[in-house]
Amino acid sequence: MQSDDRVSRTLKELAGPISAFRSALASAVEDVRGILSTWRSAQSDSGEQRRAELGSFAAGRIDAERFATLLAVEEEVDAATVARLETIFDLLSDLADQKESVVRVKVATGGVLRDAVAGALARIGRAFGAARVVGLSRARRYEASLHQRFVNEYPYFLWSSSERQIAPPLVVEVAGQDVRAEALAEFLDGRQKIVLVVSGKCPPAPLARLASPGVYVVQAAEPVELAGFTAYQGPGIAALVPESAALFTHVPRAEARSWDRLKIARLPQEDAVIRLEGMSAAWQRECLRLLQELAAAPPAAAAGPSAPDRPASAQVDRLAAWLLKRTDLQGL
Amino acid sequence: MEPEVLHCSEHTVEVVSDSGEGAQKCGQIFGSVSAKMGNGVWTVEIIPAEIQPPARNAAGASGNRIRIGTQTVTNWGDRANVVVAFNEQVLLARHRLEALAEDAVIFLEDMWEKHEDEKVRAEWQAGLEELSRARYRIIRVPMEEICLTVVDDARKGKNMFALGLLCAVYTRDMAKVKAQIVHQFRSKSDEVRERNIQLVELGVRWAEEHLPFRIQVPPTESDRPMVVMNGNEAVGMGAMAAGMDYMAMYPITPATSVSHYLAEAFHKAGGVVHQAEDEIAAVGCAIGASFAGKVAFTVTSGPGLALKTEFIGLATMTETPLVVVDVQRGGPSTGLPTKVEQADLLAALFGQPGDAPKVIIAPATIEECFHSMITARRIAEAFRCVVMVLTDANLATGVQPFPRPKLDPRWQARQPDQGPVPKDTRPYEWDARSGLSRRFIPGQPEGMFVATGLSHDEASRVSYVAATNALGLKMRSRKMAVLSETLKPPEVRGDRSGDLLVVGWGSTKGAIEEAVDRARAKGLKVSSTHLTFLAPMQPGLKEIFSRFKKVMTVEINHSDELNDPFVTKENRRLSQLCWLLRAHTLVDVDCWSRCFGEPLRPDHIFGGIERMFTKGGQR
Repeated sequence: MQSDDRVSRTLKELAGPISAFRSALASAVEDVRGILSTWRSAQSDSGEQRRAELGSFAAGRIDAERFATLLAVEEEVDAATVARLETIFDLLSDLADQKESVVRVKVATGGVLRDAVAGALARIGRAFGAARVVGLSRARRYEASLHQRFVNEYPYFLWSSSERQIAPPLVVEVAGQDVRAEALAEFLDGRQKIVLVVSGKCPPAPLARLASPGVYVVQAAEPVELAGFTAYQGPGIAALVPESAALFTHVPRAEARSWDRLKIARLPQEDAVIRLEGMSAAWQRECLRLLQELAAAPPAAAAGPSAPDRPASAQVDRLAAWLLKRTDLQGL
Repeated sequence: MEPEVLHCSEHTVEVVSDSGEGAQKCGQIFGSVSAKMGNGVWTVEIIPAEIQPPARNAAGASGNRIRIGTQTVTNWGDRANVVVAFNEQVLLARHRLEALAEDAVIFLEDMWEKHEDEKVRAEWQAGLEELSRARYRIIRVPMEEICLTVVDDARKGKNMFALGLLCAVYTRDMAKVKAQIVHQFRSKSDEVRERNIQLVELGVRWAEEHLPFRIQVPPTESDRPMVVMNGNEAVGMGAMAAGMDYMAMYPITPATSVSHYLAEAFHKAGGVVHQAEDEIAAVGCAIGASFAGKVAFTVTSGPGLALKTEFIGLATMTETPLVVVDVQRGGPSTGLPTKVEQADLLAALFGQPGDAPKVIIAPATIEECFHSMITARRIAEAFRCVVMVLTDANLATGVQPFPRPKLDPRWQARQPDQGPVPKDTRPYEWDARSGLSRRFIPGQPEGMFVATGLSHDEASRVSYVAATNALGLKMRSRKMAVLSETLKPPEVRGDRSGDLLVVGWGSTKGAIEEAVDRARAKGLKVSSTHLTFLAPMQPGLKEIFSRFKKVMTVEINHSDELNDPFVTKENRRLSQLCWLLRAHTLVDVDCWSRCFGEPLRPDHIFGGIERMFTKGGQR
């Protein structure tokens, strides 16, 4: 499968979040460099270390050498910990050096989309795993049997909610016949964005089943249409699809129903849908129908508050009356 | 005609108005611009004790004093050389406090002369008559009239007009002035910013058309990047630099702005400002966070410190590291919320019932407000103790430029050790010599224990055995002795021996040193030393004191005057550091202290020094 120029244009559209992740990575590299330098100097000169830790206010007022001697009971960092941090420093530096390639994935024709995405996120996740190992090492809670794996691979299910907030977007090149996008639902959390650059024949609405209330979903023809998707402060998935597929945008909005969130720009004819490798035409048509149903407002939607609201408010009134009675505040 | 240029190495400006007319903002911008141009600057806010005092009231004078110099400025000076006053009543307030130089140049709003209210016109006449007895040069300025050409309410414009006037007189860099206005009003609309700039330009134009003089206080180019901030901002920034990421507080003047600063900064950088329901809850939360392994601190002022008393005892008893910043104000009780005093020293040291040894440090400058937080954190954690940082209202609201701190990762390098605790190690396994013990963090394998404020043994088991309590008292006290062992004697400024040694602490350093320099220039054999560690005290004091015939503390807290009725040498109540030094060194230390609700002026201190040399002195 050849790379097309949509990938580079997509990366350009996603430059903001990618650069935010890369700058977090760069500052992590600097943090680890600082800790390493501190630990190395602590091993060589504890007086100098104490002097630095005490800050300039203590200069001329506290004898740092004496301070170091009297507080020798505080443990110093061992060589194994320093060596571990050196490995982490190399790992983070390597990830930082990979630039945009760290967020690019190519699924070989016939490959499993979900596995490719999971693998790429697990590789990116090593940055988070490394940060955890740094924290554990500084707190002296590192245990190789439990934590060594964090730097080899750090799968998405281990990511914390804050890590999911700073996750970089992923740009995935995939053949149309391999777009089993519904399997990607587990990765749509935090601010994780996934863009599928689809080539060849593909199902008409591969992302329809992912249009849940908090997820930005878009099937577009060109990367330039991804501005809203990029700016959205939540999870999202996009697919750049060929002409045979539907074009739609599902924008999460509080309080909105699916037909308010979903706008369809292009809808292929159902009878044009053909069977693809492992995907029956019927199944693809079902996705298309689901999309149409989500986008169609029922006639009653514009009729104002529905009948069941009234009994609910009556219930509230009854509850309030009961509370007033219980507290002897009736008639106030 | 070219205006006459007066060249000075330093000059002091005051801007005073009714509360709400923005004189403080004018002063802040003028001070910041001057600092950014490379001048030494020290600003002091003139704040009424009431939030919204009545207009045209001497007690309600609100504003700013800005002392600028070619070199570093360390205090607010003696008297103002130039004053901008928005009415004659606030000017009279400053005049009656002897805050103005004999030949001060005064720019006075003149709208009151023709005011519709007869009473106001009468006050104006009487005020000007009182002022005419001094030798001030009063220049009337139609501020209201000019400002009304731009704004509907001149009360919301005069401050920027005054800023323009001052900037023209002192030839400030107008690009920097405009940039500072944009920064100061960053949360306002473009329209507001543009209107303010327009008002400044009106002030500049008026000065150019009407004033035949300019004042030059040349700045000095610094080879180091500088920052400009007040003491509360410096405390907040220092806390962040020290790795503190949890602050619990309850709003109290003049400490609150530390939380304002941190709330904004933590929002961007991560961290928590917890505004608790009261002072007690705030310190309790800080202790809890620290107990759980966070680097936590709390900030308060006099009355708040009183409320935190019991919990500070708890932190001492549980040996939980805790940094408490006390921004001192006038007391006792709610006292003078907006005014400076250094009157919490003894309360900080002895406030807790029972013996609660703790560390007390006092930064002397705004720069030290920043750096003291780093030292405070390190000591608190190393010694598992409470460290109190005593600043005051003078440092809190004063603005001073200082070299931009170069952040060092080692300030935050040491993390709480959460590794498995060796079996059978106890949470207060005091080293028999030093009293130091390893700190446990909840969740640490083998480190679980029940913390208690009750007397406890090394395993943290409640014990009512007197000997166990005595051991705990001894070990907690021993840590102070250990810290004391690491301290160095304070430096003596001036000759190492002489007739008089002046001893100060906290924000008075700059004024004391300036006063001592004046005394030395007059041939008096005076030196000074400034204490930073108040508990434990820096070593060698007795030996230093022995080299001087007399030793005198200078402080902003109360001491009795020997000539006052009933006051004798035996019953005289002394200033707070004086008490401590006498107890600590057994030297007959004397004191000179004032608490007028404002920072000490060098000339007042100089007067106190001179008095020590006369026969009628207090000794």
